[in-house]
Amino acid sequence: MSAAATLAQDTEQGISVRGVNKLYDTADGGQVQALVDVDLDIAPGEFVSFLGPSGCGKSTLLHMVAGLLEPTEGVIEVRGTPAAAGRPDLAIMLQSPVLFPWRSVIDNVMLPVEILRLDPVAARRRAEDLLELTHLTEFAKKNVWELSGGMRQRVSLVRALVTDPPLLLMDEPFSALDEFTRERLNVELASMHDRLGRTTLFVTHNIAEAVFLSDRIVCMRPRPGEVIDVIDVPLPRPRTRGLVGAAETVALEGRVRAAIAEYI
Amino acid sequence: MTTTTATPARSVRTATTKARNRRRRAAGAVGLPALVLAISVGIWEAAARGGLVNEIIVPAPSDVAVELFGMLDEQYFWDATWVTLAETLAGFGIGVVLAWVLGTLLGMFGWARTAFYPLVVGFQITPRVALAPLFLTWFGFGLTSKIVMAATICFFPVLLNVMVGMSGVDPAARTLMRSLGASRWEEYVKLTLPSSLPLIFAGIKNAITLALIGAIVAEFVGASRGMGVLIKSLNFQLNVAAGFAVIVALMIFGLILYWLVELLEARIVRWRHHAV
Ligand SMILES: Nc1ncnc2c1ncn2[C@@H]1O[C@H](COP(=O)(O)OP(=O)(O)OP(=O)(O)O)[C@@H](O)[C@H]1O
Ligand SMILES: [Mg+2]
Repeated sequence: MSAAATLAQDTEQGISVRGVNKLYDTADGGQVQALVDVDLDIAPGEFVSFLGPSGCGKSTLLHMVAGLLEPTEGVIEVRGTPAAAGRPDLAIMLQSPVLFPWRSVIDNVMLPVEILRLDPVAARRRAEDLLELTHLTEFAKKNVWELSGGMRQRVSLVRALVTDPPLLLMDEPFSALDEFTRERLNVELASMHDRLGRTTLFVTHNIAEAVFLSDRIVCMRPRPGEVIDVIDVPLPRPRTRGLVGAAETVALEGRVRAAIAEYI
Repeated sequence: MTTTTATPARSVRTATTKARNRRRRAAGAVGLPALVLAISVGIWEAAARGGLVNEIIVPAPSDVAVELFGMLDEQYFWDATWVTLAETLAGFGIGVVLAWVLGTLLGMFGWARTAFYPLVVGFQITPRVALAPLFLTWFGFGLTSKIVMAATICFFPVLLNVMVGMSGVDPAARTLMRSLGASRWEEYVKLTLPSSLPLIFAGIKNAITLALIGAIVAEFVGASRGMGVLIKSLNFQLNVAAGFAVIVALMIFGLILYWLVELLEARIVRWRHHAV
């Protein structure tokens, strides 16, 4: 088994979500319960997917772990300290790519490096490797309005990875990608995870994607947003292309689908 | 970039068709307005020469042109031009800089925006040229009252656009900056300022034409030098053709100033026609 399993006890270094509730004030003066009583421990090096229909609070939870939102109730600790924005060891890839049109592709990628004041030379090298990996090398100097929607999402992915964060939060990173690119990037992401062991929180609507990538899948349902099941994914690592469509993978996908279908 | 993968023969062909299309479009962009201009001037000329309108009240374009070319050799014309342009540019510069600084401060603090916004909109819809007589009594006959008028008239549209631009920043982009722990200053420099530049430039383009209006109106109200003074005195002498010539010169200077601002905008806001 991977390092993830041996470190699993060491929750101090992972992420802990304790009794978290989130209420939003709505525009009409009411309140909406976005999350109810979420308890979760994520070990260092673990890959956890959040799966559930639209509006079940996946983005809300991710934003709270990144310190962008305060829980209404409960505590979130990240590597032993309360969740807070602006830490160099955590990167969040937002649901929309948000690229700045006044910056070229490579300059967009380098934005976190500038703000977090990281070593620009090492980061630049990493940025070039990542652009290569996402087939964007020849677009590095381009304007972002010259890119397709899927390409923009890939740039946003590269920007999240450029700081080489031990903690990675991704909000539906591949939703605008075509099936082929998505599958290829999933395989890349899996191999990157096997190599680097980043703690990863991954939001998706896609069951196959969640199964292929994850150690555990947190299944959620909306209104109010709550965790209905946490399913272990005992597929072997390293995760390679061969696992896509394999019998055990398909069986697990069926289990996850059944777990969610029960509630919807 | 798009032609790098094409065969040489094809890329040459696409290059020539591209060039031809561009030439055709350019010819249309210049030719069409030129044609419209030529026809309107032609009709005007015919109307004046044919006695359809009184030539003393509406002079023929050819007479205006003769007057204009005559003026180009006259020292008094260039003196007036210099005075008016100096007033316009000084007022424009002062108005834009003050509006930008104040707008940024107001835009940075939510409470300040809420407090001052109605006041700003109120001033924006007040006809500011109505202040010209007041400025004359306050600042006198010289250049100062004209500069103040020009600055006042271009101040509010820029102020308003700076504030609106700052509040129009994509919330997701703000979230991104916050996730990186950007300071207030970094957020302003790397996000808010560039993202509001298209609107700020729209305000500035508005301001440059308004500044010229402000200077001329202030000269009408009371001055001893400038193109406004020149127009007034030529009209008093019933030298309407010469008056028209000064107006045409004003139009040309206004166009040049506007075009310079547009040039600056095109260099800075390269993404203005591209929503991302
Ligand atoms: N700023 C907000 N103000 C009020 N309500 C909000 C706000 N943001 C989210 N909500 C509500 O909270 C709930 C959860 O939203 P959230 O964006 O976390 O869902 P999600 O699971 O990420 O959905 P999706 O898959 O569509 O992205 C929804 O009911 C939504 O309407
Ligand atoms: Mg979401």
